[in-house]
Amino acid sequence: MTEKHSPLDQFTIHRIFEMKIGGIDISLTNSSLMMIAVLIILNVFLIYATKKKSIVPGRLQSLAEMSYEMIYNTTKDNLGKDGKKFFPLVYTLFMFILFCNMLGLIPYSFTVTSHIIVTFALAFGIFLLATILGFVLHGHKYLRLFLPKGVPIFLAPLLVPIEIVSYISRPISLAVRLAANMMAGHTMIKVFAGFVVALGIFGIAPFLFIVLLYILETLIAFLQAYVFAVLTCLYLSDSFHPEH
Amino acid sequence: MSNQKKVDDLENSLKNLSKKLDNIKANKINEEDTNKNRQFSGFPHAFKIVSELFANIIVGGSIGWTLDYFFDTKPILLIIFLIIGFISGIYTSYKSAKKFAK
Repeated sequence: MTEKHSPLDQFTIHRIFEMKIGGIDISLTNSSLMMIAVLIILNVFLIYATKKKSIVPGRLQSLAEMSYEMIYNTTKDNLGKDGKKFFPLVYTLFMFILFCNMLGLIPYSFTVTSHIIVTFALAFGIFLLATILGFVLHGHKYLRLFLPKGVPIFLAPLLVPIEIVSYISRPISLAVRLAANMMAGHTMIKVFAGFVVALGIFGIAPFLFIVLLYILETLIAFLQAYVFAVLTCLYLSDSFHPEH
Repeated sequence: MSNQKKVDDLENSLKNLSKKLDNIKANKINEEDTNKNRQFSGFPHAFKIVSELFANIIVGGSIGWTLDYFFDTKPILLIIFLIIGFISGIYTSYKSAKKFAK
């Protein structure tokens, strides 16, 4: 009974439909079900919103156009004219994370992005892309990233490990930031929800606090998706111009 | 003769007017653009700097731990790489803060 109501209980993964192929567990879990739901809702939303193509956009259409424009401007500002090729990637990432975060706020649903392995998989994909792109564009000169020009050679044994650690930490910092923000917010809401039950009639105070927290969480859900998109652009722009 | 001149004058002033209008429009669009971008531009950098600080320490620590595991030198490399991770965390966040200040 007490375990069921623990604040961390919302993050447990259950198998809904057991599946095994060649010893690898590919069961349908509540996490993967949520991801499928996010993809379906996202596609339905974008297709339905842009179906009318009216010159004066309605509510849904202007939502779709606003998100498109915002990410388009971000990619253009951070990546310059090279950014157009990567706009579909950044936009897909942004919308997927945004919908995961937002749909996770609905009670009884599941927040996919609160698991570090999900965010790490996304971040590691970007890290691989940026690294491969850097080597394709600059060849071995991309290694200059670890030892900037004009640095005296006797500093190299100190600076190179520092730069390597800082380069490897990029996907970790991307993943941890998103997952920690989502997990912390949801845990806090659940803890205060426990206070509402425990305090009886005085539970109105933590209840009002939860309402305010939900507003904050909605902002954070949006902001973290945006941060993820912007930092994707920043890391990709590093592989275009490694000198900076 | 005078009619032709009048037409020319009118055309010139029309051109001037459209030039002025274009200038005003361009300025307005630029202003809107910068205002829009300023709204959220600080947040990503703030989150970036904070998470870089601890992600570097985690990465440094895990590199040190793994190398220790392979070379059987516990815990010397762990300590060295934790320190490197700490330095790198401060160095990276300093660099991105400097970049943002530009």
